[in-house]
Amino acid sequence: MSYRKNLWRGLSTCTASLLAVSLAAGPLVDSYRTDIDKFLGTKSSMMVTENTDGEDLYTYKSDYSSTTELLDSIEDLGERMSEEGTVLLKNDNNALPLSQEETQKISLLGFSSYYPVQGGDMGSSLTANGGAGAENGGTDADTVDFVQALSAKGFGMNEKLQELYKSLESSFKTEIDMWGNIMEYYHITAPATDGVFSSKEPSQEIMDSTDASWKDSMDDYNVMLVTIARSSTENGTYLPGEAGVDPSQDLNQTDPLGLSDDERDLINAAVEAKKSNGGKVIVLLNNANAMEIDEIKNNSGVDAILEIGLPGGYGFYGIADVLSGEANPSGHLTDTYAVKNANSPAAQNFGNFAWTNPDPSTSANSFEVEAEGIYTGYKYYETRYADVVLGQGNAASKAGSTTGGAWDYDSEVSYPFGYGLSYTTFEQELERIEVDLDSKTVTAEVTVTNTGDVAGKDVVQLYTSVPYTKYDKEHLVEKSAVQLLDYEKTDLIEPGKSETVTITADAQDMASWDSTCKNEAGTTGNWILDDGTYYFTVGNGAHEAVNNVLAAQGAAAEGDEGNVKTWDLDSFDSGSFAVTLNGTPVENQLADADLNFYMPDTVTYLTRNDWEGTWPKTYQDLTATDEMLDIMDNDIREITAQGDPESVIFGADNGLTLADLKGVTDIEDERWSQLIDQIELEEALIRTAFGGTSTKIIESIVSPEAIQNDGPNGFNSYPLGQYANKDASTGDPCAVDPDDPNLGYRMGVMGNGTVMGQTFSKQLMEEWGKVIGNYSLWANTTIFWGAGTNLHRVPYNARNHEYFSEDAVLTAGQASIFIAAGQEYGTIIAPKHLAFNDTEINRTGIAAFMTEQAARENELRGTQDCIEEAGALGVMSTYNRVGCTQSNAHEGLILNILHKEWGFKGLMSEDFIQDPNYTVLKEAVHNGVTMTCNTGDNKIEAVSEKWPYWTVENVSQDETLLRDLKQVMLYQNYALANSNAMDGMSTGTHIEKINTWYDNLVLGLRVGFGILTVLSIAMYILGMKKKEQ
Amino acid sequence: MGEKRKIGIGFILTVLTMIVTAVSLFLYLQNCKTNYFANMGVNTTVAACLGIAVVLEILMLVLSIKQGEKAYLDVIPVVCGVLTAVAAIQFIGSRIAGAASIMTFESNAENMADLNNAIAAMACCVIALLLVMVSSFFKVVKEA
Repeated sequence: MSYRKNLWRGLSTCTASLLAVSLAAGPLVDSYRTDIDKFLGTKSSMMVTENTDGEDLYTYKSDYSSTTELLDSIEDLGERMSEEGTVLLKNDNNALPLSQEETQKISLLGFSSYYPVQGGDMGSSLTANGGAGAENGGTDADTVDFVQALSAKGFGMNEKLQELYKSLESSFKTEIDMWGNIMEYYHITAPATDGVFSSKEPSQEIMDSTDASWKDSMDDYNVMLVTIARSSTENGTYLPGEAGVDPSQDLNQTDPLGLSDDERDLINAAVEAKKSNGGKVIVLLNNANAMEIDEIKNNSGVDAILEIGLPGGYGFYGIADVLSGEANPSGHLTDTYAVKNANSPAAQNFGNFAWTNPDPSTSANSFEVEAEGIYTGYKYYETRYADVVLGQGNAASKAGSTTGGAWDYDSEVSYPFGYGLSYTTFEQELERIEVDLDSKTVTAEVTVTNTGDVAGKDVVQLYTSVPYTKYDKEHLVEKSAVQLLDYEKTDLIEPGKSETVTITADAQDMASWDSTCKNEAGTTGNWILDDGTYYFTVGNGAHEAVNNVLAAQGAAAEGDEGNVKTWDLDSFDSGSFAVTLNGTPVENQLADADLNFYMPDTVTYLTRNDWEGTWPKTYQDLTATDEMLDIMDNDIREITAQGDPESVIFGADNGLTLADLKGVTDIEDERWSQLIDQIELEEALIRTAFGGTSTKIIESIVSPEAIQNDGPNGFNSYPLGQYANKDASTGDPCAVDPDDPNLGYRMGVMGNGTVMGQTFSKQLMEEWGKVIGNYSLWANTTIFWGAGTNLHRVPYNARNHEYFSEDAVLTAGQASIFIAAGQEYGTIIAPKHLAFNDTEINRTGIAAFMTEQAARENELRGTQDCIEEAGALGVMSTYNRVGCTQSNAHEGLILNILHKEWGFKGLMSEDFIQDPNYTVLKEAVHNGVTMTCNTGDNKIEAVSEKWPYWTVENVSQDETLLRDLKQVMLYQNYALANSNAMDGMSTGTHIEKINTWYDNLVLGLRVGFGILTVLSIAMYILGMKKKEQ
Repeated sequence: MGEKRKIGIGFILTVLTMIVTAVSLFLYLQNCKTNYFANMGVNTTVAACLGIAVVLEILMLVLSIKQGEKAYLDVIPVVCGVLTAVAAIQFIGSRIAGAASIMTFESNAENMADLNNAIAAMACCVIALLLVMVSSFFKVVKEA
């Protein structure tokens, strides 16, 4: 009897415990429903549309009639992106293109030829379709690596070398252990934020011992392509100098972006072999972070250098075409290739600089002082050069010199920003320049003539040099000696033919931010144009441009003064850009981003007035003051009883749904306020708090769930078929066959941001926007966090691959046309990350300090056009702080610049922040952030558990916050109403919840364990009664 | 004079369960103080469930020794099982998003340490649940 009693007691315990598990798991399932559905491919709700009366509910139309056409377009663009995004840096004796005979004699050297970096390790990673290790091959556009692309293009390759490198494969492997889930990479990887770079290139000794005849094999394959690679990754970093190199390796490597002896020796081995085999040595740079390659440039044995970026899944087709001459390279550098990256002024303050009094509870961890001011990238190198030529500002001092002697441009820069060669030659003539401050434009007319023997495309880079005056020196306004004003790419120009290119540039891009200038708001901070002479020129890169300007100024520089036009401004102008395009007066909004705001006289910002005296020191071991800590506690706004909360309407019964506002672009239309009045306060609180990976349904207005996707190299998050409509009866022109072989296709396949940037082609970016738009329609994925508009402040940020360039104008030009093109298909392409995500080190919490001039003229200028010109309907904010203030809480940046000055009206998410304190929910909502990235059960209790202040009772006493909530609900739904998320919806659409199989499983478990528990207890009691009897 | 009682396997298993449950509670509270998870605070349901389970398990041991096998004491393992199960699920649920973030976007040594700590605590919780289920099949005391 005792045995039975124990048995029933035990069973009662087990079943009751498991019943408790199944009951407790319910809310947990609801919390992660979107992600569970994503993982399992299930749907928990659907929009049901009935009685459409033949109405076409699909506003946006694809250009393609099948997924095959769609994938073909992606593959084709990927190939052309690399054809035009590959930069020919060196081509001695016209080593390239290769002859037909030479294409059959390829020796691929360097393990990165066989294991190339095609995307980031994390973030913009290549989603391989087909090929080694890929599970989803057999699509109409399987991706290829370098060897596969060369084979497909008919190249002949040295198989002995292939075998050699294949036999060494295990030595290339990098393993990252995620609790038993080992991630294996065979390409070179980027260091973690607390890691260092380790070279994986096999030494000559290892190669010789593996196959002593490998050099001899190159006698028959004497076109030697040497690939040198550096990877990129989100949440990673290269540290400047030897500190960033694995100390256990003794490879004479002075910088992680410089060469190791193994790489150096490999190149030299090829050069040596060339002496006997009479071939060619061509170096391919497979990187997004500008490397130190001066020794390759100066190596007379190296015939050619190609910068290929991270070419994605199809880019190697394009690179093969460049090698064979099928395509003529027309790419130009998006970044300055410095001799010594660590010697730039910005690099002096790149690293891990912790507060002496950090507070982990508020993520107050570290800081970066961008003491270089506006002088990043070419704005530093070319301005310093100009000042050396002009003999001003102590420019020729030793500060920042690589040689240790007087600063000399040729010793500092290998290849300048904007530089790139072609297989033909071009002449550009700046015919006309017209500055019209009324229309705020600068119009340039440039004639481009192909003076060579083969057809090719050229890039017109329009540069300006603005006056640097006594006023500027007195008011600490900095001026770059030359800056890109705009650019255009020509069509294919046949030899001897010309094309006239007209550029209409935004005149604001030559204005400077003066934090001391009075403005229309009655405060300080304004855009100014100094009186004086403005120079305009074109050139193959910033260096040629500055030389033209210097020549025109009568300085001793080898420039073409004939290709310079001038425009004179008679008087100081602080009025032309005093209000933004929407009429908002500008004023200082980022004064607190300057560390001197909190700690006066701490930072000396670099000025061209005295390069030596203001050369940035490294700011470290700083102690945050009480005032700073008070802001860094992330509790900035108080929810208080104020105003007339009763006047703010929630839960009205106006009989509208979001579909009634489908395509209504006038946000002032009164139906918008009527619609938003219908939302319940509780709904607004939940939806702002829990954004997660989709926008989620708002039942009161029938607002649909819109899926978010990470980019920028394509829709990386989900396969094509994950959310595709498989029901043709809906009338969806993009409905797919459930057996479509392309449904497993994953679209993280495009060349990385620098490849796109290197094209200098707005045409290609427009095509990219169209491809993204089309894919969005087929995949039913509306939101694409895919325009990386942060700048390359230094080459060391391992996430530079997701961003276009060191230059804001190039960034804005590429991003804005991309965004606008995608929007034609109802796709919300969002720029990210606003703003100053300059490093991945301690990005949750790092305080970024800078001048407002640097902020506005560099990073923010890269995003401004995306909002003002392209009308982006989405923006992602950033992890880092702006000054001491968490970015979402920064009223100056988010509310006043983004929303008010630029007029942003759309959905806005924070980055993937999970800490409720750092999420600054109430501040974010006030500033117009429409959702956080947190997730949770669709209940106010779940929200309030994370943010105790976010309750109906508390918030409903604060009129301002209530209006803020309605405002962000309006922004979010306005964006959705004008997107393809509304396709298939009508005013009669309603939401139906679906019980997924896992819901049924949980229910079944509850019922099953419930019955078993009752039975077990009953048997126990029965047994006891029997015992008593 | 009271009856003589010998401890059964259930006693040892219950002691073990109590210890593991107590360790789970300790590790949970410790994890709530780590830098990464500090701002999520202490979930009172988790702490209370584990705390009550520990108290009940001690109570069961003491009363079993003093009073021998009593029917009302058989309720305790059932209740402890339910409490530990609720705590385990709530605890795991509260760490999923953070774990996803640390494994991807916020991977660094410090955060990994905090996550490893959380995993250890969660594992402890699950082991405690398994132990309470297993021990409930065995007698705590045997009448001599």
